[in-house]
Amino acid sequence: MKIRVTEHNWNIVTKILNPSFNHSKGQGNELGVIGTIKKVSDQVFIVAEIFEPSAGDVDCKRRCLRFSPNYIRRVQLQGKKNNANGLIFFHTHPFSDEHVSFSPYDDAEEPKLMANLKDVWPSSEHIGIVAGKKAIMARVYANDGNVYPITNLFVIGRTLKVISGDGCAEVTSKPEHIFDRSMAITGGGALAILGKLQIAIVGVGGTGSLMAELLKRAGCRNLILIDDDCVEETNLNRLLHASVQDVKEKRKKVHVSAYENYITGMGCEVEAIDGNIVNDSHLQEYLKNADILIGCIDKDTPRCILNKIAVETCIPYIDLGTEIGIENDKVQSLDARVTYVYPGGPCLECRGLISYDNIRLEGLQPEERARHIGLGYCRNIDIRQPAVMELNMRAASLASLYIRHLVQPFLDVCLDTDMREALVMLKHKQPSLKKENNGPCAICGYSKNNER
Amino acid sequence: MNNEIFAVHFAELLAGGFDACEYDVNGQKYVEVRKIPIDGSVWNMAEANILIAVPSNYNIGGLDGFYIEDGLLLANNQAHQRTRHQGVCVILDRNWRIVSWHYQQNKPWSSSDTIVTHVHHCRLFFKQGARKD
Repeated sequence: MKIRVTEHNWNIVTKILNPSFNHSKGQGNELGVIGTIKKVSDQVFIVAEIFEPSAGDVDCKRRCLRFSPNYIRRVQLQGKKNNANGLIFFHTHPFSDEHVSFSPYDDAEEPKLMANLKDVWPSSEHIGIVAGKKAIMARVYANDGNVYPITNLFVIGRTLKVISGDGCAEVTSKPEHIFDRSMAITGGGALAILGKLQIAIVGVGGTGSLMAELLKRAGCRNLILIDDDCVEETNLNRLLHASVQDVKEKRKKVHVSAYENYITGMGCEVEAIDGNIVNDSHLQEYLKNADILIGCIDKDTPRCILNKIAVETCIPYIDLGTEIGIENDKVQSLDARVTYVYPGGPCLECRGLISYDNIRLEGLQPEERARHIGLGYCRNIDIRQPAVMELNMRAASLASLYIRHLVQPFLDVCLDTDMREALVMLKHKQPSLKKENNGPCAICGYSKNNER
Repeated sequence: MNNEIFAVHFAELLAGGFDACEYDVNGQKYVEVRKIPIDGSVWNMAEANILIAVPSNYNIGGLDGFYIEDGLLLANNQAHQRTRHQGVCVILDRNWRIVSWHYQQNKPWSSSDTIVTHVHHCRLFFKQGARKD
């Protein structure tokens, strides 16, 4: 099981708990804070709200922390009002550093607290977290009466932090030699995080097949690929690894990509799902378990669904798009776009990247759609858009770098959450001449003065 | 399509007193709403039947536009200006004309329309026709 928390809520928690570890200023008491949680899938909880304690809400005597009944009651009532599924209790062990675990006192008292809560809120599930200076340990008191460990806590914002729930601080081990050349932008710790993430790529066409390749080579070890299309002849100009034989055998795009991943032998496990999220509610539910969603789709309906899942379940979502703008049979623009949707930031809808006209038209049968398009109010979505591998590569490359930057920011600045590359706007740097003032080049004879 | 949501909305439509039927024509779902009372002094009939195409991704995909039956004209036997330029199409073995109609993406009401609210908006067309023509 895992927990997702927004960067905003995590900052509130750490602001409250951090003085506990400030021994030099004579503090160092156990501190605590309560929040509400929502269960978004069988495996995932999100922290919905954090309620800062008031004076007297958290009491610590003889190293034993106690939340006041008033505080618990206040948060519980608010949680019920906001359709939460339970509460999350954070507390510190001030002298734990790289290792932390529940104390015998926690083990004795916490189950009683959870049992009392279940009495007054029968369907609820609750989480207890103990925090050391550099590590946390977490467990969930589930509906079935069992207590399960939380494997990871994900802090999601302009960066993505993954904190192990096993009570041990992350140890940066030396990565495999394969990744030696990429260490500058994805160091050992980040590589370990990438290896833990379950990344779902929806759409394994021209851009998605490239994303799968790049992520595998970046060190991802767990990919979910979703697409229900077969390889067609017109895909071969841009679909990585696809062959004429795949067209003849009508092989599914996900199977082509998964097979190529397998023979690379880099230890990346791929789950190839021959499905479509638009008409498969189980698939939509399944995606809620993923740690990052990547949309490589050219239709607005699945894009809208992914956007909704990401916003509602607090999953980082990276949407890719490319467009070749043509007017009067002439290319006007070549655009590649990567958009990052994160909690607290704008989603695809408020950025204007989803068209409800397109969604409606996508849901109509061709004959009916043609009549609606014929009215002239909407763009004709049946015109086959041009697409080339070069442009897809630019978007995929940018998105892959974006993910590396999320887990280990290698630049001093946060990357923009909507990155667009308009190829016609690129300035091409003029090559400078090494021997500009010393006569012509000895090899080719070129000199600026005798340029033809 | 989220069939459960559609079924709930369609039941609301029936509960609202509308005479409605749903059809599937080669995978395209339609809802026909029959005998909608209209102003007989403006139109050549006192009741209208309308046909609404429901997208398969309802209700992420919303509703827009509708058809009126080919014989429905203004009282002066002219076609309404919003159907004049559209050809006749045959759906369910009957002749229909699509009404030139479109919700703006930034429509003033923020929530998406259901089949119930869309039918209410469609009814306004017959009143609007009375004002304009």
